[in-house]
Amino acid sequence: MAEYIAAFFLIIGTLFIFIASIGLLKMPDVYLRMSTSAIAATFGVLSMLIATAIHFMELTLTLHIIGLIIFLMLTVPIGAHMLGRSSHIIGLEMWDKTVCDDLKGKFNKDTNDFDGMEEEGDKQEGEN
Amino acid sequence: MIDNIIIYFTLPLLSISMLLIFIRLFIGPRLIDKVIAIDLIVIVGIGTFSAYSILFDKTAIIDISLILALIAFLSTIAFTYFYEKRDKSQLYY
Repeated sequence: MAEYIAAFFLIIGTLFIFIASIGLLKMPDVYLRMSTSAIAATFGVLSMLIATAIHFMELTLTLHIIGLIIFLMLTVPIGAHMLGRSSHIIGLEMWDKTVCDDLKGKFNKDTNDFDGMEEEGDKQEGEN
Repeated sequence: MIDNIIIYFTLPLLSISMLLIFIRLFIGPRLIDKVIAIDLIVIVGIGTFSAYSILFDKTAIIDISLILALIAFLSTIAFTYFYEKRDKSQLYY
């Protein structure tokens, strides 16, 4: 029974990693490529690690895999967020059909941070 | 059963996905595309290590993937730290 569950998780993980690599090749934009590689590939590798833990059924290996899963779930979104932030600061172009960009023109070069939110709030209060 | 799945399904598909990621690594129009591709290569490498550890019945291979994940995270953070401070008038960024 455990063998079938491990095989199921292994197939799911492999398919998700394959879909993520296709998305990395076919997506038209830096930000879309980053989102595919951050979300789909992380889910795929997590399910492959779960399959390994189910297949071996050992305590030390399971603890190693739990630590690895926690580490990956903490660090991969942080890395993707930093990549997106730095590419938006540098000013990389977006796709032609991008609908909205909430951070457009809100990067302050003096303070080196996104702090344009309060100005828009003040403006709306003044209009009311 | 699970050995057949790994040999005939998992390892070929992971190899094809590694090939697609290497195509993006070589043709990437910006520098940050290549960094994303390297980040994904490490993730596919962790998946390949777990598949090999099932195939060869060696649990010590999982320890390598811990170190790989740590190195990938630190390199990404260090790259973005220096990428923001770069001269934006350069042609290739």
